Amino acid sequence: MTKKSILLLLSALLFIISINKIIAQDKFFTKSGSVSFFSYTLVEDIKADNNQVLSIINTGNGKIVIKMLMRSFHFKKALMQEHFNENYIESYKFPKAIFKGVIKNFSKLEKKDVAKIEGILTIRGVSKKISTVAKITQSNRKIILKGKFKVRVADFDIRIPTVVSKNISKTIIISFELNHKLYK
Amino acid sequence: MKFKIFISIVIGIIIIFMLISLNFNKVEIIKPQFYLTTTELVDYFNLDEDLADKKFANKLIQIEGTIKNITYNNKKPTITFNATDDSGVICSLNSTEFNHTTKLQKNDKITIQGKCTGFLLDVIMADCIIIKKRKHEN
Repeated sequence: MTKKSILLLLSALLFIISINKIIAQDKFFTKSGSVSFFSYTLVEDIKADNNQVLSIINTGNGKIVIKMLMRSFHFKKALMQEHFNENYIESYKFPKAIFKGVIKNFSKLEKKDVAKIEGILTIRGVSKKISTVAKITQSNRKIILKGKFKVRVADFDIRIPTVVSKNISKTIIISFELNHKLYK
Repeated sequence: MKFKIFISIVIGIIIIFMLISLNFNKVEIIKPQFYLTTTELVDYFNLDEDLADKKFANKLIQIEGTIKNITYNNKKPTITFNATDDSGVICSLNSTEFNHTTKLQKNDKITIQGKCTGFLLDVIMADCIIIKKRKHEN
């Protein structure tokens, strides 16, 4: 091999690496986002947390994908968690909840702003359009999204037995806090 | 006679409370259904996610691997293990394990037991406890 060809090969390699970097810089992600849901009724308050939520933001077009495992939701009472997974959500059939959406006017948002987010939420294989607003805080290395919205239990074909219908609210409040970091 | 009844009721109540407290959060006394290395576990999910989900999800698993990093969320530790280039195993531990995890560091080889909840980009495990630690080989 001549010097020239080695040089050419090296520069080609560098070019590929730099292109990769440019693409990679567009993505912010977290594997430890927090999602909680609440149900308030006169009989009892139910809360569950999931701190292992995956979320990816593409800053090029403002697209956001959030995925979480239903079994990772942690309840105070173990029995509640069992009912949630086995009877209501059927985690063995539908292990994940997925949100695919877009942060509106992403490029025009300030460092600290309120962003409109629209997308499709899929739970138990049932998809539903969600539109909400979230507080957004961004820097060169971080994007933090924080907010909450409501969903109706019936929208996702979740059947709740009449015996416990007074214990579980018809609408559930879902709150989220996602600390995205620049993907390296 | 009344005194004897009273004593037996008190003893009965104490025994019931002991039984109740024994039944909660005792992951450590249960034997795991699978013993794997972190790489093996990730390989199963990369090969066929649905099949691996049926096999491992909601099951108690003991895994052995090398620590990539440890993070804390309100004193609740999370340990990430290296497996393949793209994915690893993320284990969320009970807050009772806090005193053990502070002694651990990157590249330590340890064994952990917990419940597998599924796969996103990594295999996710919940309610984990540390089984044993080995000094990392240099």
